Amino acid sequence: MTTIILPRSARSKALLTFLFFLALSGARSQTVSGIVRSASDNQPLAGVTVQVKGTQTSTASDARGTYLLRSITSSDSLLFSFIGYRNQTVAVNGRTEISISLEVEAASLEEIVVGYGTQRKSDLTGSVVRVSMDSKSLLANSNIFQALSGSAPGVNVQGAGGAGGEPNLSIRGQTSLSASDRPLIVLDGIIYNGSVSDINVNDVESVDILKDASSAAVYGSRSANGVMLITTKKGKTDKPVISFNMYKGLQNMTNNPMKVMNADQYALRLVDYFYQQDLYTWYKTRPTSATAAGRPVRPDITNRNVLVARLRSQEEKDNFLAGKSIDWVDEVLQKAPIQNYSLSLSGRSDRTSYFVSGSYTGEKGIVQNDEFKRLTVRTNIESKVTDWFTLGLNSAYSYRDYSGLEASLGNARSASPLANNRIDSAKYDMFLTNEIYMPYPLNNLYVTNSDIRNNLFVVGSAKISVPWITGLNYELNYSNTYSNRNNKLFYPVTTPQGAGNKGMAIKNPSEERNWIVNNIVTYVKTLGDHRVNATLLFSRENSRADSSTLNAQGFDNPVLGFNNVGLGTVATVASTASESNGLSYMSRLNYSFKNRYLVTATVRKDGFSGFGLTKKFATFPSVSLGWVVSDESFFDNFKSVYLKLRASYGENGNQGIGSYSSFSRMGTGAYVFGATTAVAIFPNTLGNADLGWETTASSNIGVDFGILDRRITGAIDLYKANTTNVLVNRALPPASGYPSVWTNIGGISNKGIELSLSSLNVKGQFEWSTDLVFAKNRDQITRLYGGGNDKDIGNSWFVGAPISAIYDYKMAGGVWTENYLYSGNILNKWYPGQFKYVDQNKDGVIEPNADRTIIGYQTPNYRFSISNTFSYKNFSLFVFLNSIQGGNGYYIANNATVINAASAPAGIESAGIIRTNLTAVRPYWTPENGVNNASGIYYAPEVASGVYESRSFIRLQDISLNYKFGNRLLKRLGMEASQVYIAGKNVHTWTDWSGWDPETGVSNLPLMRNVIAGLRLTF
Amino acid sequence: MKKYLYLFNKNCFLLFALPVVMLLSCSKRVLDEKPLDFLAPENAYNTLPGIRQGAAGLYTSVRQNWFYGINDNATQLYGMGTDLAYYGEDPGSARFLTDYSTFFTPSNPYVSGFWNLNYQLIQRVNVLIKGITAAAPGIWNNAGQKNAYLAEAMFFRAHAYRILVAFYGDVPIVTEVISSSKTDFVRAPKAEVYKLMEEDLSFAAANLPQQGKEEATGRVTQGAAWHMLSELYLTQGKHQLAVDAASKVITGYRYGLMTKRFGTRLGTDVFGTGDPYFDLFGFGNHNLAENTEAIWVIQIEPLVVGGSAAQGERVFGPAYYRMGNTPDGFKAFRGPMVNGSFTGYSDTLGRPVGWMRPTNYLAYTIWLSDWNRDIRNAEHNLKRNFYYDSPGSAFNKKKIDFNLYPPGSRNAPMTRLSISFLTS
Repeated sequence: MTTIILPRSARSKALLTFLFFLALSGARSQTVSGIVRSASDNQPLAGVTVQVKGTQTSTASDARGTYLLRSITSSDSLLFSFIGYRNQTVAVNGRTEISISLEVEAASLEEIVVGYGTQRKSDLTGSVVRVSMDSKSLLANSNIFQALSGSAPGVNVQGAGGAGGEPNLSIRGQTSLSASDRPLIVLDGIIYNGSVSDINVNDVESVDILKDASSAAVYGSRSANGVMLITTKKGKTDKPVISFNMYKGLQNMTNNPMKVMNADQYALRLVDYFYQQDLYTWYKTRPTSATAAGRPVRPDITNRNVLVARLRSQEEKDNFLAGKSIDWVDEVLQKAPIQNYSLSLSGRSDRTSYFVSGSYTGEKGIVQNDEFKRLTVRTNIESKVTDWFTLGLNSAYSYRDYSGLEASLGNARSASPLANNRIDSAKYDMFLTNEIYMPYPLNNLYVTNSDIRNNLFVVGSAKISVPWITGLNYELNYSNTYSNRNNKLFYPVTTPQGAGNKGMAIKNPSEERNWIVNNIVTYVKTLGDHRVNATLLFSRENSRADSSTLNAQGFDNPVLGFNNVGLGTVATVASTASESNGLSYMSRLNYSFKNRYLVTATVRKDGFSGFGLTKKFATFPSVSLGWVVSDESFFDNFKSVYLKLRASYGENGNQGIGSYSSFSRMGTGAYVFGATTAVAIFPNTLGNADLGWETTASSNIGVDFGILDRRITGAIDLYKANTTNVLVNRALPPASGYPSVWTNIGGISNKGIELSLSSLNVKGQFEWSTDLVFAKNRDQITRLYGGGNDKDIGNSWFVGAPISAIYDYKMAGGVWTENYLYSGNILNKWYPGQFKYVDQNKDGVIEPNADRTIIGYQTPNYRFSISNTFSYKNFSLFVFLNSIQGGNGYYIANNATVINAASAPAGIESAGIIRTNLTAVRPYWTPENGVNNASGIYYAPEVASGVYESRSFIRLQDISLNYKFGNRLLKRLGMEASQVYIAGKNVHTWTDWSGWDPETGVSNLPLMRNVIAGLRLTF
Repeated sequence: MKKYLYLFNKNCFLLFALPVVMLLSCSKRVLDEKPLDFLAPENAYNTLPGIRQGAAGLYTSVRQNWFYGINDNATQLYGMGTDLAYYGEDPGSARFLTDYSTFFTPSNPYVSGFWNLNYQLIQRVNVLIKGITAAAPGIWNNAGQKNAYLAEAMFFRAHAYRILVAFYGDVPIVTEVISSSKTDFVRAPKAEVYKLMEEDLSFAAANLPQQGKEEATGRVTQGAAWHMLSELYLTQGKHQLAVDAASKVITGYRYGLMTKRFGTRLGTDVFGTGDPYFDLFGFGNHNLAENTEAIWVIQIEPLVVGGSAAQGERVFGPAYYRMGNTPDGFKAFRGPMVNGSFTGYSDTLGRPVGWMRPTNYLAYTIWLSDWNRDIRNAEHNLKRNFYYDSPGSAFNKKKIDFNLYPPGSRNAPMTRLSISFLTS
């Protein structure tokens, strides 16, 4: 549908013109029509304003990008304008059809959501990035955090394994020792405490990330980790648009170098273990040569009976002799399907816009019985009731089903390859070979589990544009989030949890309800070169949660499982409840002069019930400046260059710990007198009435630039942040009866650099663009308990060192060998087959106090990503490389359980080697084999360190190839922009890490790889 | 510019005021925090039921930490690393204090528990004592009740210091409630600790209920306090006082060693033999009124909420279920059938794992002088012989003897260690 808006004056003018031209033959009125497309992907653009230049005659393109203008004269020019695209003026020159392509304006006038309002990107003074979901829509992202991985500098995503796993996302560096580093999430303008897993990625229009203090300061006491603003889609076009997107694919391991011992290695390990025990006894006599008296002889390992004698169960002996074995890791893993369907309807009329969507996601994990299903429904409606009054309602419901306990990869790693194979048999051994350290890896398949989570999120808003004061708006919005989770379990007697108690049923319902009321007053005024934009906020919020646990045991008749816990004979119950309240006031003032000099100032005052009695309120100020240098006259010679400088300073808070943390608490338990239960209470935590927020004061300097008419654009940000009043769970002398108390005494500093670069390398029919992202952050603990050199060895925290410092013995390289022993050139109490450590104080003894140092850091050194998009005719290819890098001691982790097959080091409580299977990644040292990177299998050194490996990786994280149907075909099918695509996630990983996956590190729920094929249809 | 700001302020203030008025009810009051699901020390002990639950908390602590409760770390270590016992499953390893130089560090929970858990109990006592003292006088049912509760709390404080002073000598004395971070603890001389224990136990002995008058089965009575007091005097070399206190226990109440068989094991002896000492540990016998030997019984009642379960016993037996086959190739232990399959173990010791291997000193030497007459050394009390349970095998019900197997085929560590244990 095309509309021509002709104000009365224009109408009469047009009429006059018409008559005039009728009278004068030769010059006559005509119509002009055409299609407006986006130059970047050749897709029709809806909603483009087409204006007859110099008049008020205009129209807008429809969903197919077509427009029609009547009463045009040949000499007119048409001005095409659309947010996010460069304006284009075209002379009519007698043509009746003018179809054009609009160029994307690389750094545009795009409106960015900044919290309690929007701002033009060009007006921004803080560090805010927008991640558009457009480029992510053809990838298998079931979680929005997944889609953000590597997408913007300073946005750190740590992938999660498992079906429906939610990645961990943080912004810039870590500012707290105890609190989560998850940023505050704001969904459609409302602080959102729910899970982002409830959000359908296809519903999301854009994500704006407030990284620096001044931008985030509007969210006060919860903004120290940055703020992520998620905006969902709205209807945009007059013609209703139906969009259907689906994909299907398969998932498996990203990389799988982890090997456990096979039957032969497993049988041999105990022979070697006990042989080495005897050998060490002999070493301790300090022999001077291999032929010295008493050296034990390694048993004849070619004799299978020698191996058999060491096996600890008859069934292992029988299976070994029969040549039967089983690879439990293989048995636990599976190829897992993933699928997604989403359907949406959107549109707008004069006064109302709507967006309605539904989606289904089904995903299995690579470990058996790991499954995730999600249904979402969303309705976004906004209606302009009168010219000055607008009502809106966004509601979203999600249903997530995590039912089923996944099989255990950890247990598969420790399971005996010689155990009887009773997979799929009801008479399986819940402890393989009767060994309780070897639970049957598939035990969980016999547990009945239902784990359902519901989430309902509703935002209602009323906006009033005060009629008699232009630019003054008032918005009242109210949101309510209700979420519940109902987790039900039944452990039959054939599982370890149900074996000793005739079956156990657990029901664990929990629910949470949040409401927030925001009163927002905004005032925008332009007066000549001055522009003022002021925002005032008063906000009140409330959150309540409760949960119950019902546990029943002793089921003589288990057939009804958790559905009738009354059939159990012993029941225990427990419940929790909590409530928190908040009050917030905020004011923000933006001022710009000539769109060139920009100032933003913000103050927020937050009250939170969870703060201690004496610290209920906190105030957070910020200020930021921007200067569009390229608008200055001295820049006139560089027309093609855009340059903006930004500087900001601000304070942010972190509530750190939840409600009630300032209280001393009583714990509860139960005793029995005779056969009568007695409830028991006892003090178990020490409170602190002075407990408050953590404050991060940070400054940011940034440059936004564009060269070659913004074909290359980018931003560089430098920041420094100092966090004070850091909550430290300060250890108390145990004589106080309490292990620790929360206090605001710590300090942390962060600094970093972020760089992003976008370039349109090749333009034309073949197009190639590149985005580059780089970020590096350094953190340091500046204060712990008040002392200048405080060390908290238990937490591995040191003043002056990064938070993630690893405090351990430094490996000197390799292991001691027998030659060292025989020559006497070996430290006292150290023996062959034990790792060599650096004797820091050179006293000849390796001991905990003097010889441990900071040997590295868990955090990455830097991160980068490169994405390339190639398009040719109807094809486009997206290739995304993401990387987290270590080096200089960064990004390492103790991978001992994966790479060093040995008995547990001294002092570490473990069943040890004799009762479980072990890794076979590195062969263990023996006197004969010359292995230099692993210890002997009998390993009882005086002290032991972790065995560290770098987690650095480069990953082909996303690749997608997509084909857009041609217009002719689309027309015949009655469709609009439609496409088919194939895509892969985590397709290949380059790493030296020996565990399942470098990103998930030492975890038995590794990241997954997937390949999908998909289809997107628009009607 | 100023003008516009002024205008803005003036006009919008009115508008802004409207919703503010609407929400005025939510003034700062809404930020007051009220606990919903937990008690705070300030209000937990204002009533008699609250104080009673606080007392139960002390019993819970002692059972959990020192009597086979959930934190049975300490229990599992009983004897290990001393001349009584060592880690039997893998004595060459570094586990369970087998090697002091690598294991005995302050951060090891087995070691630190002896300090931390006792001071945790002391703080629980101190908070309870403060609550009892501050509670309104009207809450008590009778005159003696308040002192009885105080006495009970003090008994537990002495119990904690008893372990502390025995392990560490001079230790900090904490008798006040800690309500904010305190870091300046100083060790008090042993003598002062003894003095505090004497005061606590004397008060307890005087004010606890008499035997049989306790509010509930398993609560401490005067006898237990006298007993500990006697032990405390003995430790200090105050022999006469020790004799006096012990005499109170022996003559002041209805206590006495059991000399006749009693209770649930009568007629159900697994071994066909039994004695009163054996009966003391019979299930259901501990709380019996006729059991005059029990002074204070830690209450464990499986399958009752709060009843806990003694899980530590399997630490002590040999892991015989790993025997594999009989010499003639049948499964050595069939065990009872559970869920359609044989468990492979059957014994009064459950499914022992051979962790705690008694030294020869404990297993043999100390019994030598009175091997046959000391009832504690009887077959049913101290098991040294184990028998095949393997219907079908020629060895069924026969005593296990490793000499029946080919040489070298039974040298897995557990069985190797068990040879002397089982065959001597």
